[in-house]
Amino acid sequence: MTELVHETQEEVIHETSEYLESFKSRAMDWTAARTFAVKNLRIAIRYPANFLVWGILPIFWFAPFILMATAIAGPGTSAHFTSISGFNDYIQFVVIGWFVFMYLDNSIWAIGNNFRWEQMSGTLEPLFSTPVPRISILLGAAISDTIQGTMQAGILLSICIVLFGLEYSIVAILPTIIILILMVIALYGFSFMLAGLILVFKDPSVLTQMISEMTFMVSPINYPVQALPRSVQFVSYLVPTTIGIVTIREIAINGAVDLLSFSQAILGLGLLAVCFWIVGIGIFRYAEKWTKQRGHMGGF
Amino acid sequence: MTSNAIEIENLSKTFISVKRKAIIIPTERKKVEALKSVSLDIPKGQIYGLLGPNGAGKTTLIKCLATLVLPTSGSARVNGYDVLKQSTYARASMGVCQGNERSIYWKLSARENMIFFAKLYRMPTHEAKERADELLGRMGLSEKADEKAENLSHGMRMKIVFARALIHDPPVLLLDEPTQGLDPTFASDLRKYISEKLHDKTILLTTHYMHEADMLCDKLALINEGEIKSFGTSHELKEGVRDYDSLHMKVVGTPDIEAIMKMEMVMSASMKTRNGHSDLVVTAQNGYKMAHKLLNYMHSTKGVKVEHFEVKEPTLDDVFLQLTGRRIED
Repeated sequence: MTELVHETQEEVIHETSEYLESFKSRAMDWTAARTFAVKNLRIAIRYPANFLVWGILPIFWFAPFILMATAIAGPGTSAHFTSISGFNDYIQFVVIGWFVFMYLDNSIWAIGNNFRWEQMSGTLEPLFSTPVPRISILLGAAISDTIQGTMQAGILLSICIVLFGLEYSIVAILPTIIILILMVIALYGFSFMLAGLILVFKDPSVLTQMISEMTFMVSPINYPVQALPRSVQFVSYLVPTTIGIVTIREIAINGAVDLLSFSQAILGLGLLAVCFWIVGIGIFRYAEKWTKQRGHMGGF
Repeated sequence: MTSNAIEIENLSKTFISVKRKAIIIPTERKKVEALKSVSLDIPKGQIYGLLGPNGAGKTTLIKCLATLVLPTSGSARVNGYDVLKQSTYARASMGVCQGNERSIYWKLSARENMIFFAKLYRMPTHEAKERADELLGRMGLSEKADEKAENLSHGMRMKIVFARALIHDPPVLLLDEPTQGLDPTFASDLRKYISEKLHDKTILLTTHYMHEADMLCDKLALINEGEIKSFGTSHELKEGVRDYDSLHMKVVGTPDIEAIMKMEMVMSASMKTRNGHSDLVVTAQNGYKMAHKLLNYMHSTKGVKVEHFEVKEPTLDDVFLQLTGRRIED
């Protein structure tokens, strides 16, 4: 059923319907974000090879580092490693690094690749023709990636605990979840920025590979932050996962929560989240405008 | 105060292509005027067609209205909403169907695709399901509703793309080549649906199929190189070339098209040659006199033999040819 609504101020007639009458512009549409995330996960599970990526591939990524380290220093640890890191079990140390890295890796590769995939599939333009706030689409993509990343990280951690007989503190679960949530929120801003860059540069492989390698190098995954040169240590703390890895290691391995350092970590991650979101959304908006000006939205 | 569902005023779009040397150093900037000050008002409930060859600017115009491309200058309103300043409301007011079967998710079923997009238009789940089933039923796809799009035929996927544009029952529809590449049965089904079931919608349809434009559109805008060359009903446009006749000729060999174009009374001429056979279309004043002259020319040309010849009523293609010197299907 349609009817005409007169807006005398603007002298414009909007044809309306029940749908249009109830429609209001929103800054954020959570239902759309959830719908988008569910759609992504549904598609992901329909590609059977993804189960290998979630369950097995991460083991092959980090196994060489463990083998290399144990070949050089022997099983357990080395005196130098213990003195600079404060930990005396390298494998226990490195597994936490890789567990958290799964989230960083997803935030770098997944949202950008997701947009690229939508672009290549021909579905990006139909998505952008809907009245959904862009932030909802971005968040939807980010949430589905986080779920996939959590599966990867969870499987990796479980396999390592069984394989190497590792033990982590039970006390660590809740603080770890809090740190992970904040870290993931901060990483979303990072992902939005990459999604924007992919709208502009299209092919993400070179760009994301470069960012991935750089963040991998400066992150304390296989070595402690102290192993990095001093100037690089500062850069390392600009990557949200660094605070995440350092804090989770402290809690999960030592089994004690130091309130001061925990609060500092939360404050640090909160600040990074605000900065990354402002920069990420700003870059994405600019990139969307840039592509619309050039008519490149659905281009390759 | 206006009751137009779509208002386009002096809309221009210029794309700039940059050739670069050593990746970053620009060596040449080329301006491509995809739309040149296009103005068009479409009253509520009317179907208007944009008819033109590939690269004429049809899709750019649709994308400007769909908020996918930012115009360089000018303005446009959809259902009274400015596409730049009130883009969210403009998007909620329209359904967009781009003639691309890839614009749905092939790993999702027909129903899942429909429900997904319905939710992006903020329809509650139960309403989205009902609407999806209703539209799939109308498209004759009820039995295939749970089949993944990758397992459906091209025609079926295009029907899903079309049905998606209707999911939120918008007052305005932008249909960009909706029947492109469809087999005749599917194309006919869609045209029938548009003409019989969408009376209350305002539709802007782009096509390069003349019979489709003739059959569906209340009024037509002939567009070429970003400009609307002529506008009116199909009848009005054809009346405009009544003073001219269209001569269609099939010949063996390749006559000299340049020589034909230079002949007295010839308004325009086009020719397609394939496997040694040529299809020639000549628009000319006084068709019968011209026919005589043309036949004489063919008889006197070595290696050319006339297989078929007729003088036809003007078509929209003839109108276009006369206005632009090129055929719509070029």
